[in-house]
This record gives sequence, C-alpha cells and structure tokens, in this order.
Amino acid sequence: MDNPNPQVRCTERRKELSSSASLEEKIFEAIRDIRDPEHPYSLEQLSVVDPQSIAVIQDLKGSRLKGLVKIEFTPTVPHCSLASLIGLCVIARIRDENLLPPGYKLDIRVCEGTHESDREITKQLRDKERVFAALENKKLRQLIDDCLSTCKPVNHK
Amino acid sequence: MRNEPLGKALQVRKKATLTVDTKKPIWSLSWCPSAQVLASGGSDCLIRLWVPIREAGKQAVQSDNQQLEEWHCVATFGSDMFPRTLRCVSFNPKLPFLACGSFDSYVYTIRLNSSCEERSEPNLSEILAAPPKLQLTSTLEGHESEVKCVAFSSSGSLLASCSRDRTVWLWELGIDKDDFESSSLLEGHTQDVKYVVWHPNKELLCSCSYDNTIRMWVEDDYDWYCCSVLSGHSSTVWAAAFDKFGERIVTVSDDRSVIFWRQVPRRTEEIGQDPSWETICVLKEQHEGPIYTVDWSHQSGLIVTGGGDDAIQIYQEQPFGKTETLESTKEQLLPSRDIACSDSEDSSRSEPFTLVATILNAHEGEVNCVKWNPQDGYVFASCGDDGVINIWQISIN
Repeated sequence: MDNPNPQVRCTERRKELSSSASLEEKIFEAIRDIRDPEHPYSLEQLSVVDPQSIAVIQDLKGSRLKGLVKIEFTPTVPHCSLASLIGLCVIARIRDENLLPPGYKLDIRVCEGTHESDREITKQLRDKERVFAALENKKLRQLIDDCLSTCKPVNHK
Repeated sequence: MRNEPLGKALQVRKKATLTVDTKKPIWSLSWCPSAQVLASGGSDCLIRLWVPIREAGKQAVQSDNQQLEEWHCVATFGSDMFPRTLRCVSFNPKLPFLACGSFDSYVYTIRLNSSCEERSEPNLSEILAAPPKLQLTSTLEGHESEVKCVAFSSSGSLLASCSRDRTVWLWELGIDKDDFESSSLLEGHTQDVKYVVWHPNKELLCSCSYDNTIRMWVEDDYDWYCCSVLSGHSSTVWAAAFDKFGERIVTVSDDRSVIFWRQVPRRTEEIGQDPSWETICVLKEQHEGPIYTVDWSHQSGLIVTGGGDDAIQIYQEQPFGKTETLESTKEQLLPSRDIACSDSEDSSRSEPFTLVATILNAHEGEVNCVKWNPQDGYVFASCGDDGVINIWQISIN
C-alpha cells in the first residue's frame, strides 16, 4: 500500500442537485463519491478532489471550443502508484454519465507538484488513445467499476 | 457547420456524409488504390467497405458542383472476430489485401474479393448482386500490447506495424503471396509508437512516437536500423505524411504544431552516410487541441490536418517554397526558417507552407483520420469520434 494511513476528512451529505445546478456542481457531485482504489474512502474524503478542483470555462473569446472542463486532482501521496487509475475513474464517470455538453472538452490533470511524476500522468490522461484502450480493457474496466460503485455511506456525517 | 475558407481562392464543400448506426468512434480510413472503395475501422470492431454509387439508370448531372454523392456500405466484416477496437485499417497498394491493427495486440490481414475496383462507374444493383467479400488470411502475433498503426510499403510486400509496446514489427509477404511472416523487430523508441508510414517509392519507414520523436528506418544487408531521429515536437507525435517524391515529410503532434521537414541532400563524398532531415518550417498553435492526423496529397500537393478541436485544416505550399527553389538556393532556406519561429505579422506570408482553409466543426467530435483520395487531389475523407465519415470536395475558383 502506497499510503497506509491517509488523512480522512468528514464530508457533507450528498446534495440533491436542483435543475439549475452549474456544470461544476454536477461534475463534482458525480466524482466526489468515487472510491479510492486503495482505501474504503471517497476521493472527496481523501481530499483528492474538492469543489475547487473543477473549473468550467465557457464562451471562450476567439475559441473554437464551446467549453472546457478542467479538473485537477491531488494524489494522497506523491508516490501514489494508482494516480493514473484515479484519473481514469474520473474520466469514466464523466463519460458514463454523459456530463460533457456537446462541443465541450475535458482537460484532466494531476495538480502540479503533488506527485513525483505529475507530468507523465497528466500526459497519459491526455492521450485519448491510451485512455480509450484502457477503458476498453476488461480487467482494468473491472477495477474502475469497483471504484465507481458507490462509496460506503458510513463515513458520511 | 461553419466553413471559413481563409484563402479566398479555395473552397471546401461537404460532398457526402456516411453514418454508422452504432455512433462509436471511427479511428481510421483507407482508400483502395483506385479510390473506388473506402475502408473504415473503429470501436464497433468492424471493418466496413464504402462505395460511391450512382443508381442504375441515373445519369450523372453535368453541373454536379452542389450535388451530394451517394455512398453505400457494401460490406461489413468481423462480427464476433475482433474483440477490441480496430485502430487502423490499410489497403495494400498492389494486392487485394487489407491489413488492420487492433487494441487486442494482433495484426490481421484480410483478402478482398471484389469486382468494385474493375468498374469505372459501379452502380448499386451490380454491387449488391456481387458484394465484395472479405476473408481473414492471417493473424500476426508479436506485439505485446495495443497495435496503433499498420502500413504497407509501396511494393506491397512489406507490412509495418507499431504498438504501445514501443516496437515496430516488419512482416514480409510469403512466396505464395497469401500470407505475411515476421521479418524484423525495430527497437529504439522509448515510448508508444503511434504511427508508421512508408516512403512513397523506397523502403524507408518513418515512425512517430509518444516519446516526441520521429525515427527513420532503412535496411542494410537484411538488417533494419534507425538512420535518423527527428526531434522538434514537444509532445506526442501522432502522424506523418511524405510528399509525392518522399523528399519532404510533414508531422503533427499533441503540441498543436505542424512541422515540415526535408531530407538534407547528400553530397557525393559522403557515400555511406545516411541522409539527415532538417525542418523547413514549424507552424505553431495550428489547432486548438492535439493534432491527430495529417495527409499530403500526391496529386494536388495539398496537406490536410484534423484535430481534437473537431476542426480540419488545409495547407498549401507557396510557390517560393517549392523544393526546386530550396534545392537551388540553399541559403534562402535559412531566413524562412527563422521567420517561421517568429511572431512577426508578415510571417504567415513568408512561410513556405500556409493555411488556406479551416473547417470548424467538421465533425461533432474529435477528428481521428483524414485521407486524400489517391486519384483526386481535391477530394478527401475524414472520420471522427462522432462515428461519422465525411467526404469533402475542394474547389479552386
């Protein structure tokens, strides 16, 4: 185990999102409960993601893109070997729930300086071919689906 | 769809849209040499063959400038055969064969029995009466992980494949012309090899990689080795294309740049030394996302790119940038290289290659592959994550 004693944070109960919820809120709600591959805690409880990790940029002046969703996540320890898997889980959840509006692009990265190979992992997650192949790989997809199945609610207060 | 032709003289028009009901990403396209058949491969794990068809009895309209072309999927191959995405399909230039590379780590060769190619103007009823048949002829084992690209040499007798396992394999056509056998293993890239493409008439192979470099490979006494490494991109190199004579090459990358390279002419006293490659120009920030695909028409000389911004761009060589000019006045090359990297306002006019058309929203998703019609340098096909294939016509007014 890369991080045997992670810091666990108390988190709020899951919100019922109103129809007017922003895209940031919708995405945060969708990814906060993803279970860490190593621990029985959610990405939010382990502070891998928080609401500030997500930024939606719309109406970019002079841009060809309709919108850009930026997600930065922070691995629990700088040598976490499962950081790419966490990134894949986030991508899989956003794709499965069809959260990107048409014409929007996803830019997911490891928060700079929080992992010893942050750039390498970000490059892997930016590589659509690698990501597609990984999500199509049955063994890997099983691991991802395990993390995507809802986190145990006992730790919520 | 917004078309924004930047060069006034050149216009692009969508000529046909070919849709697949699965809507899964289409990754790769290949025209057969006669351009009568277009093959596609993608995440539905099927190879499809598409044919432009005039319905029997219908006369071709003379002024068919605005006419939509009708295309039909005349063969679907591979159901229950391929377990994973077909990343790349490629026609053999000489023999009725197709090769495809899959994320399942295998390279497949498939024989095509078709009469489509022999007809100059196939019509629907004729083709449906005798649809092209595909037959799996070999499953080539060697790669350890996803195969990204496959390509036949110009003679049709060598097949190159590359993979996430960082290697390039060469497969040689057997004596019975029915099967391919492994012949060489090319190692050198330090990361995934994304793309392979052969010189248009020599046995020179170019490979592009996640390690940000491009490598050229040649054979010497049955031994293949890397004869040059081209460094210039700052991220994954996704694709490359040679010009008609193989003297120049264009590469595209995750770093959003398009780089044109040329072979440095070899002086006679340097016999035995491999030719090296130098940049002609670096065009930065061309797409608003990774550039995944490029093709250089050997007919018209136009260059087309497609990227993660769902857009397609077309480039043209400027008259002063022609190879002949560069060859004869070598000194003149240097200023243009410097200008290429500067941000001066006039730089676009001084570039040997310039952007002449942009098609925004060419697909409702990222553009994975663009391929010129090998018989008509003003027609190309594109495919994308939207599961659609588009055929485009360029007209010059």
